[in-house]
Amino acid sequence: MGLFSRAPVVKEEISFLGIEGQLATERCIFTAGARGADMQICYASDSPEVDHTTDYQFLSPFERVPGLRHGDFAIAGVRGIIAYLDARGVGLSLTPRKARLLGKQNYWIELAGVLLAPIIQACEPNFESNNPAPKIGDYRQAENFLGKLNSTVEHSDFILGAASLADPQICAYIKLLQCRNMLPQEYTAIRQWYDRVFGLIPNTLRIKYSAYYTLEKPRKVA
Amino acid sequence: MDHQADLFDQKTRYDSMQREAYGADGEFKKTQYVLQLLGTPWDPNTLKCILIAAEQGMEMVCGTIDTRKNEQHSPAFLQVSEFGLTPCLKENDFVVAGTDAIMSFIDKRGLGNSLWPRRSVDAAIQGFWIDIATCELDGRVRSLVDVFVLDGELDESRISHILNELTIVLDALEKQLDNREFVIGKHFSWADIHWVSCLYLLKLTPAKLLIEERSNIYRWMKCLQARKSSCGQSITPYSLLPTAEQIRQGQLPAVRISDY
Repeated sequence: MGLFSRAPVVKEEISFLGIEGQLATERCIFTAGARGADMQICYASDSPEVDHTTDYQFLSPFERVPGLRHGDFAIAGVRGIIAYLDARGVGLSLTPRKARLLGKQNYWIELAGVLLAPIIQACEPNFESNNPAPKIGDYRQAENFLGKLNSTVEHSDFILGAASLADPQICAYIKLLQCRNMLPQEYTAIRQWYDRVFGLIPNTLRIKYSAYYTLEKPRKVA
Repeated sequence: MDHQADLFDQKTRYDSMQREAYGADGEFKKTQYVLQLLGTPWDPNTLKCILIAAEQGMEMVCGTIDTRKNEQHSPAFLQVSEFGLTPCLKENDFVVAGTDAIMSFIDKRGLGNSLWPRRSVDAAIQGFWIDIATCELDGRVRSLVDVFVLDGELDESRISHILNELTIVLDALEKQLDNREFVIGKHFSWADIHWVSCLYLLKLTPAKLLIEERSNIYRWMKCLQARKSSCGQSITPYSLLPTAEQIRQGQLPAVRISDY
């Protein structure tokens, strides 16, 4: 490539393969929506005859899902996909430029991963029995986290004030908690913030992503 | 200025006298404050924070939180890290916890260029390899370090199971490093920091043979051992990692910058 030449633009649509109700899959879909990435979303089925497993298994030696393909490029795993979608999305990146805000964004994401992920994943159909089951203390910590989130978004539009990658990713946790009836009704500020995060999706993609964002009932998307 | 000592000051032994003495000799330091880190010497995540601070030329003093004694749940620690998340970092009035949070803060704040790749494809590949290091390597390395460095207990069948699993993970890295200088290619990135922190600890156990018998990994680690920091300071980040003896004694070395 020459000094002033630009990287070739990939015109193919992004295709994404995940597992319905899986935390990592939801995090990627929510981020894609907030970043305005128009991708074709497909779920691997549980039934062997229509299984897509071969589609994603070759993406990585560790059989990681979800997987993403864009032209010749394929990547698997939540971190890689989110990094790609954030860089490839429409408009400005959601990653804060200031060091402290960036640190705070990742603190919230990590905190949700530590405190909410274990209780959500324990309800996933493919939850491995050798993982320790959540204890009462874990549920208490998760509740504390939700209380902190509720009070944070009560006074600001988004978690850090301005929208960041923490918003769509933590929305994915909230969505799954609600699907499992583990989101208490009294957190009204969280529900209002959730709607604001949905508002980040560009108008042209809102209808498409509304099926994934809805909190009311579990969706059925082919 | 009045400064109230907290757990950071107690653990890192960074008192008000040192605070006032910082920069008092008239030398201009590019970083305004010394970072204070609370972490665990046998935890790969703490080592990642030390490496990135050295890479980015940020002075950092470190104190130990003994997770074997559940110190991360002590009231004093919960005052600085609300949910007991480790490692935990303080810069003047700003406190943040968690590996990604600390690494991204230092990477952005530091003196050198960010180690986060600019190209979307490189950033994605970096993310993939960090995912593998955190999910497939971290926990297993911790278990081995606990047995072989800290004299913890684990039955032999479990150890051999861990070693078998590590073989698969290291084979993947070996393949990835084929004809590549660093994990994602030509550029040193966060992925290298994540992997080398785990493999450094692995080298302190008998499982170091798994590294030595893989030529690409061995060559890559040799290269990182001698590598100067990316911010241009005359320090070798790898040399700052704690020795087995320091790990046993619960000591974490500080990152000192002298050629500013």
